[in-house]
Amino acid sequence: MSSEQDSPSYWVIGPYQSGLPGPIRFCLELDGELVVRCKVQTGFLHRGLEKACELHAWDSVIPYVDHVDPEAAIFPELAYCLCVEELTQSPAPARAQAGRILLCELSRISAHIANMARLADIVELRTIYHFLLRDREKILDLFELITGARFSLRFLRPGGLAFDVTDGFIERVLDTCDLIQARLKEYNDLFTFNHSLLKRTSFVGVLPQALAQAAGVTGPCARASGLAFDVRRSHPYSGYDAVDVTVPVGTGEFGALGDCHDRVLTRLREISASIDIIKEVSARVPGGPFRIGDGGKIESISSGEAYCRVESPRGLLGCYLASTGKDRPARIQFCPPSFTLLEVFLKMVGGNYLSDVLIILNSLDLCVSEVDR
Amino acid sequence: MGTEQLWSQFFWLPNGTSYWFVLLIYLVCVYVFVIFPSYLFFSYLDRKLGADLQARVGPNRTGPIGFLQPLADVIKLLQKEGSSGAWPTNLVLLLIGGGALFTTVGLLPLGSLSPFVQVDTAVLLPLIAALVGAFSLVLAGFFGDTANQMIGGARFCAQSLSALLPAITTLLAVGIYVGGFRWSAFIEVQQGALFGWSIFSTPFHPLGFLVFTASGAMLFGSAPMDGWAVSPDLRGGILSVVSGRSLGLFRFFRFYGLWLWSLITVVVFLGAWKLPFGIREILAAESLFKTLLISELLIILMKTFSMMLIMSWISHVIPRLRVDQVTDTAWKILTPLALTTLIGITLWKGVQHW
Repeated sequence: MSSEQDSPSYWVIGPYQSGLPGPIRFCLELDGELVVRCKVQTGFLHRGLEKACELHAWDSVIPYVDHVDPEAAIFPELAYCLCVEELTQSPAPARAQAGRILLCELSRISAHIANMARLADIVELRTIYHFLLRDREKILDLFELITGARFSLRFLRPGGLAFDVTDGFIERVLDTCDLIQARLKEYNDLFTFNHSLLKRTSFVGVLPQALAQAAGVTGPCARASGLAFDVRRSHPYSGYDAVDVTVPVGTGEFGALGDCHDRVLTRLREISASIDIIKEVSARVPGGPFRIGDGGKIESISSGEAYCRVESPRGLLGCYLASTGKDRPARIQFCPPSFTLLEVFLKMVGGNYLSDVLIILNSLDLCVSEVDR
Repeated sequence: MGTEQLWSQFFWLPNGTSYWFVLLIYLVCVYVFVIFPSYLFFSYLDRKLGADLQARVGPNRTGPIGFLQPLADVIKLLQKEGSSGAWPTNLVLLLIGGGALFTTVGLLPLGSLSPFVQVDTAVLLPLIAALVGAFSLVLAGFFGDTANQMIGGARFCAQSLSALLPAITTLLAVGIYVGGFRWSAFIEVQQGALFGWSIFSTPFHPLGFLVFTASGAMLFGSAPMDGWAVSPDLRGGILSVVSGRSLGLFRFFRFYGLWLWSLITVVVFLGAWKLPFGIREILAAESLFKTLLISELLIILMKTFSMMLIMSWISHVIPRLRVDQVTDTAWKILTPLALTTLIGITLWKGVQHW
C-alpha cells in the first residue's frame, strides 16, 4: 500500500519565498518527498494592467505595458508599438528597427542570464550567481546609457524610438558582447557542465514534445523539447527578415529531451545566437530618421484592430489592440507565454522530488507579472 | 614530570594544586584561547575566501581589514532574543548539542602534552559526540511544530545515518593498522615530514582519508549537503525557527562539530601536531615546554583550518545535492570504498606480520 493513502501531507510554497519568480502560491500534496499533485493560486500581483492601459492616451500606455514583463520590458513595448503601427499603417524607419533589434537581443541576453542566476541561487551556487549578475550589470549599464533606465526602459514609441542612439553606443554594445562571449566558457565550466548540476537538472522536469505542442508552449522551453519554432524566423517582424536567426534546439545530450538541463543549455545557446544577431545588425545600422514624425502626441487612431506577436525571452508574446477612433485604446490584451508555462508546470511537477519543484519552475522561466497582469 | 605538573607549571599555579582545579583551568583556557578564537578566525577566513571566489569584497569595515567582523556578529546575535515559539527546538539543540560539545573538550588532541584526559577509545569519543550532535539536530527537527522542521529533520536523519557506516568503518580500519584507538597510537606511527604522515602508510589510507572526510561532511550536513536547512523549498528547514542568540550558539556548535571532525582527520591521517626536522626533540632538550606546546598547537590548528577551507572551497563551486543523492552516494559509493579500505588495510597489516 502506498504511503500516499495512509497520510498525504500538504506543503505550501509561496506566495513570498526565495526561489520563486514572483508572488505566487503553490499548494503541493506530498507522498514523503515526492509531489503527488500541485495546485496554484495566482492574483498576488494583479494590477488591472490592461484596463489601466485603456485609460491612457496612445503614447502614455508605454510605461504601463513595460510592467507586463518588467525583466524584459522591451518586448511588450515592441508588441504594443507594432500593433499601433499596424493600425496607423506607418511602420518604423529602418534605423529604428535596427535599434529595436539591438535592444531586444540585449534584453533577451539579460533575461536569460537572470534566469540562470536564479537557478544558481536555488541550488546555492553563489559563486556563479555573483558572476552572472556581474555580467548582467554590463547590459543594464548599456540600457542606462541609451534610455536612462535600467529596467522599465520606456524607450520605444509608436513609429520608432524615443531618442536616437548616442555616439559610441554601438561600440560599447560590441565590447559587452565580446565580454559575454568570453564569459560563456566560464559559465560552462562552473555551471552548465558541472557534474553536480547535471545530477540536479538532467532527467528532471521533462517537458515532452507532445505536451509542449498540445499546450501551445513556445520559446526556449518548446525549443528545448525539440520544437524549432521561433517567431523571429517563422513570422519575422521589425526587420528580423533581413537577419540570420539561429534557432538552437534541445537534443537531450545529457539527459532526456526537454529536461531542465536542456532548457538551461538552450538558453545559453540563445545567448550566443543573440550575440551573433547583435554583431550582424551593428555592422549595418542604417542612417536616416529614428522615428516617424516629431514624436508628438498621437491624437487619435482610426477604428480597427490589430494583433502582433514578438519572440520574448519566454516565448511568443502576442498583443491585441482595438481602436474606436478615440485618443486612447479601446481594448488592449496580451497573450503572454508564461500563462501556458504555468499550465504545463502543474502537469509536469507530479512525481518529482520536493527539492526539484523550484528548479523545474525556474527552468520554465515563468514570469508572474505576465500571468497576473 | 607528569602531564598534570607540566600544565600546573604552564598556568603558573603553585605546586600541589589539586588535579580538578588544573583541569578546570585547562578546559577554560581551551575554550577561551583555542576554540572561540578559532571560530572567529575561521569565520573570517571562510567569508573572505567566499567573497574572493564570488568577485566580492567581503567583510572590510570592522577592525583592520574587517578582521573583527565575526566578533561583532557574535556580540550582535547574543543581544537578540530568539522567537518565542522555538523553545523546544532551542532546548534540544542547546542541551544535547551543547552537551556533546562539553564532553569532548578534555579529550581534544592539541599537542603532545594534551589531552589532559587519556582514554583507550579517545578517537571514537569525539565521533560519538559528533553523532550526539547530529542526533540533536534530528530531534530538533522532529520536536518542531512546523512541517518544514519535520521534513528537515527527516532529511537530516536519513543523511547522517547513511554517513555513519563509512565513517566508523574507516576509523576501524586505521585503528587496526596502528593497533589501538588512543591518540598516542596514531601519533607514534607518524613523522613530521610529509611522507611520514599516516595517509601515505599504505595504498588504502588515501582512500580512507577521502571517505572519512566526505562522510564527516555528510554527517554534519555541511554545504553542499545541507538539504535539511535550505531556504528555497523548506524555508529554512530545521533552522526555520532558530534565531537571535540561539542562532549564534547554534552556529558556534556547528563550527565546533566540523572543526572537531577536521581535527580528528588531521590527527589520524595528516601527521597530527608532529613538528618536522626534529624540532620537538631540540625544544624538549632545552626544556622549552611552553614554546613546544604553542608550536604544536599552531601546527595542528593550521592543518585543521586548511582542511576546513578546502571543504569550504569545494562547497562554493558545487550546487546543493538532493538528500536522496547524498544518501545514494553514502550507501553506494562511500560504504563500499570504506569496506575496501578496511579489508585492504587489514590484509596489508596481516602480510606485514606474516
